[in-house]
Amino acid sequence: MSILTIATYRPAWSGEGSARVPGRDEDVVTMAVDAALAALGGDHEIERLVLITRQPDYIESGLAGVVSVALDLSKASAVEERLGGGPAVLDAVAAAAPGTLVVAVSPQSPAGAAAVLVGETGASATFAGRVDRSLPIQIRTAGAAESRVYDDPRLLRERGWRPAIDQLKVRAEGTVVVAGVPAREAPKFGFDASFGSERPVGGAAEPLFAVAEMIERGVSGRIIAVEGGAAAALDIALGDARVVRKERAAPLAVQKTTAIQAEIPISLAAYERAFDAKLGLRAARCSCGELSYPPRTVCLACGAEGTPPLESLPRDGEVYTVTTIHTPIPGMVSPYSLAIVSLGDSGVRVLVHVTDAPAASVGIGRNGTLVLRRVATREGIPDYGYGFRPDEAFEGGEVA
Amino acid sequence: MRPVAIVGAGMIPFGELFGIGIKEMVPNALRAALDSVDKGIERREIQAAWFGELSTADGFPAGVLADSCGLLDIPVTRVENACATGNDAIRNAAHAVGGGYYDVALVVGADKTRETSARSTFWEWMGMMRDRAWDYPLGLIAPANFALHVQRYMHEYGVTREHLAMVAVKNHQNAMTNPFAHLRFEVTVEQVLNAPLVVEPFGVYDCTPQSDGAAAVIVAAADVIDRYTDRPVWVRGFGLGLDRIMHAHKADMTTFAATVKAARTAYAMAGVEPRDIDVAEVHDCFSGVELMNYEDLGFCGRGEAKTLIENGETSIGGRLPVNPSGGLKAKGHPPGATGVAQCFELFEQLRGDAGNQVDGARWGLAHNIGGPTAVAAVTILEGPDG
Repeated sequence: MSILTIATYRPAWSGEGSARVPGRDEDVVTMAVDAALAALGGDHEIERLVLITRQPDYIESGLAGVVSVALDLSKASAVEERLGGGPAVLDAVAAAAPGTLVVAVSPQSPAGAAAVLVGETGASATFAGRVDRSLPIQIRTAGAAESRVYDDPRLLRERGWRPAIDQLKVRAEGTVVVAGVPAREAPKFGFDASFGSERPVGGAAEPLFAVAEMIERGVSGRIIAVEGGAAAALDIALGDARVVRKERAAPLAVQKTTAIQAEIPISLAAYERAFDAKLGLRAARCSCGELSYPPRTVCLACGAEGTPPLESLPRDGEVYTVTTIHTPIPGMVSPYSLAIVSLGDSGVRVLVHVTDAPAASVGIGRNGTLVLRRVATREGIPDYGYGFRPDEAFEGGEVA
Repeated sequence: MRPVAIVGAGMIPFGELFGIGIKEMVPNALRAALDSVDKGIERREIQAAWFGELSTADGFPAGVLADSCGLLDIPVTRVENACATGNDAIRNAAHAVGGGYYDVALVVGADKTRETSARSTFWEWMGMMRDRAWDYPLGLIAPANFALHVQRYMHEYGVTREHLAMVAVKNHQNAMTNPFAHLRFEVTVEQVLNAPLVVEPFGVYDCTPQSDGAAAVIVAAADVIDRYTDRPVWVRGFGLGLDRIMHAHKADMTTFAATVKAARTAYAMAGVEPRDIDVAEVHDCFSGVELMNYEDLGFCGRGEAKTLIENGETSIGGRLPVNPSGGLKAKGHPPGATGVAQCFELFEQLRGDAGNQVDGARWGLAHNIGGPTAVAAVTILEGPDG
């Protein structure tokens, strides 16, 4: 198969050191949507979306529907949630049929997400081998807060990584790139340490960041992803692939905040009723032309009654008014900014929180984009919606 | 409708009334109103009652009034209309008396905001006021609800935080001499500007306190006025206005459409214009809201409120004193009681008995705006010589 487009996304925030960390309104689902939207551009006609992460935020209830509605995928597009790391992601790309979007999310620092749109043309990606072994040097029991670490990094290097890499680099042509191994270890396996030396993300998304870098640098060869004792490899041959980078060049330092723990109640009945319009950012179009958001029984303009069809709203917008809540509020993290944003030329305004920007940094008249965010967690349930990301927050780049 | 007048009005001091519950506050406010009736009145002369309470401090509000006041043999109705509750309760009573159904009716407004912890109050009130799925999870607390308006208003009209601070300074000054006020201390413009920010652009001193309180008025038909007083205060006009409940649906946030509608109705009913008003008690839950009210109530043109406050025209001694009681800002704001307490202040003003007396005041106006800035009530009163 071939890679038509590969997109990477990194959160705007940095924690300790310079490693990226997700914003407090980001999680696997929102990062997946950010990466997927970057890869898809305006074209949402895909057959299947495979979402892979090693650290899902939620289990027992699937969130595929959130991704599907937020991306406005047609009902024919399947969304599949998979548990896995780097090797599983390369496997998925190798096995994907044209029209598949493979999305990998690494929610832990250094955090990021990447998406590959697989097609008939582009940079070819060919299965080059797999090693299935288990060396669980770090493992977490389901439900436990902390991982257990078997503290023997040389055992991992010599009996986990080395045999897998040695096996998978046989008969490789061009450059061999490894993901899942710290950059400083690369020379010990005879690899060029300059390649991917920054290792912008770890986990499931790391091999796709490496592939994006290969395509950007015009390097063909083999990508090997290792995780514990397991590994997988893909051969990348250069072709007409598009690379999209969605990230802020200079990350924002995580702000000092005040949080008061409190349980905010949720009505799942109200959540369910609002779902399509709220997560899909879709308004009701009355026969008089008026768009009502949220959809309502009686039209805002002409008063006609009914349930008109929904249509997508533009996501670009301008701040009409904005305020910042500085005082600590139970269940909230202060300070936070709320804005009323006019969307494109739709005539529709929405009340949203400001995201990917320091509190109180966005003023009236600022332009930006609505992005899917986890607006709140209420009674343990993630409540998704949209936040306003000011334009200057992200310097998107595209490499043909 | 036959003419209706207020023949008695009273209140208890607003504040953090930890020592008494709603069942003491309500009869105490009633007692104050009964005692204010010049020629005397007995409780048994009250034929119907309306009770404005936003929350439900000790349960079923109508029953709390009937039971705690010993008024078990008359109809009692609870009115809840967000922060417009008090003035709307008066409107309902005036309709019933004016319509000829009763000769004497009681209105009590009360709320006990400090009955639960200061923290939990936020979410209890937001649960009452916000859409469950759409607005509620965002943390659109009451000050933010108004700040979204005031920020746009300041942006369009070049209003500064200093202008807002002048409102706080004026109303704190007025509260100094009001024995019923919650915050009886002066503040300076510098203190207001330097206070910790609560919600931009409001610092601590731009915000109303959370108060407990109760107030009561007794309204009577013109036919029976002579039994009670020779100095009635006439209820000449009232209006209730509503607006979209989601801020995103309000086309122009530099104005409160609900106030404009309520005022238009009340002025028309009373047959007066804004320039006829001598004294006003308006809804200053946050300093900047008072400035917007000047414009929505027609006291000045669009964008001219800052000039009014700069020139002291709304101070005692100015052209149109606003909030001589200290307003919500300094007198306090137990929502159900607020509108009723405004009319108590006007009752005293129009009879020449007020602490911060506005000389020769004949026409008074009371105003509330509340909920998701989606409901407003205006009451216009005329003094005894009218």
